[in-house]
Amino acid sequence: MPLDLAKAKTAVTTILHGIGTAPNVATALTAGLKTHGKVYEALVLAEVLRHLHVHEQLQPLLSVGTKLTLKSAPGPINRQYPYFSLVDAGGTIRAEVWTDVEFATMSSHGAAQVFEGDHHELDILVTEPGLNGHPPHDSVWLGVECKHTVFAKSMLREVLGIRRELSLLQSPQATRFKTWPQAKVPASPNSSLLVCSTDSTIAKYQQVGDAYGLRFLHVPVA
Amino acid sequence: MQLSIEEGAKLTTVDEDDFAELLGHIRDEMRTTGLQELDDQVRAAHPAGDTSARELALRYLEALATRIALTSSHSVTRILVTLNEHVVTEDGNPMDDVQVLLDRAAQLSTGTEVISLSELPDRRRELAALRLLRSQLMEG
Repeated sequence: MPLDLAKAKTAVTTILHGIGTAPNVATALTAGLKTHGKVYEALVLAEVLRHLHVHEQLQPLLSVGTKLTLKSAPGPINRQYPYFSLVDAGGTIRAEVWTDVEFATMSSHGAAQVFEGDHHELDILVTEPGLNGHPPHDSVWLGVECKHTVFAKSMLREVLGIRRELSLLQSPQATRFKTWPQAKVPASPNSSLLVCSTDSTIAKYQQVGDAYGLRFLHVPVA
Repeated sequence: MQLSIEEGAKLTTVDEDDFAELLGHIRDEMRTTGLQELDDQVRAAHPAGDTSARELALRYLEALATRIALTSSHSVTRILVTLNEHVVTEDGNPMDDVQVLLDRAAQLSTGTEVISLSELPDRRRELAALRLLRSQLMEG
């Protein structure tokens, strides 16, 4: 039987009205939590850890327990929460992976006072090991932003601002990584910055990314 | 889930005007089912006049499919599979949940410290139905 407009409309109604709110989701909504954003953050984190393991030969080690724990609000590094250590083949911890942590911006470096704009959140941060508080901009190996919806141009402007607070534009230099996510960036300090989105059109911004040391990656949801 | 479309059904009677009507219907349904914010996001990324009704309707359905997948326990299960292929734990046991630690204010309002994402509903059926509808509209 052919699909016509009436059938398509009925299908849309049936699908959307079939999505009930489970008790767990209701609790999350009460708390103002967008569970879909957290699921995407977890998905991207799993991809980042996979790439670092496969391409950089860094073994991710969960610090405590068996649960991936994300936070509903960003803050400083708190070593009481679970995190991942990245261990090299010789058994040395080379870096750590944190979620929902705010780094201390380059513009606030050396300042005597702390102001509202001195810390910016990145969904995933790979930093030098053993840090506490807000990791300084020059301790960041890799920052990852996760965008779980259509990628709007305003998001490009946002990540360009993050890039500016991590590094200055420089001639290309080696990152902390052999190949993934970037071997070289035109930035000093030499942090990598990765922007992941469910939206395949994110690739159209890579030319801007190449100029400023940003990598745009389409990470779809299966 | 019982849908009025079938595997292999061909789209024969939907033209650009119909797509415009379907688009309006999708947006109405999104608003009445609490997805206003998603409607706003798609509209912001695709200003009126830049995109045909057909393309825009397909973009809405794609955004909806992504949203449904991200609120389904099957996605959390897949994440745990990936993690357990590449992560080791201190005690050697596999990772078994993805949870969100609520901030202090949220803990007080809900009486809950953490939310387990493994307890999300399984929405694979709704997702499959939506993707089937989208693929048939794309073929039309």
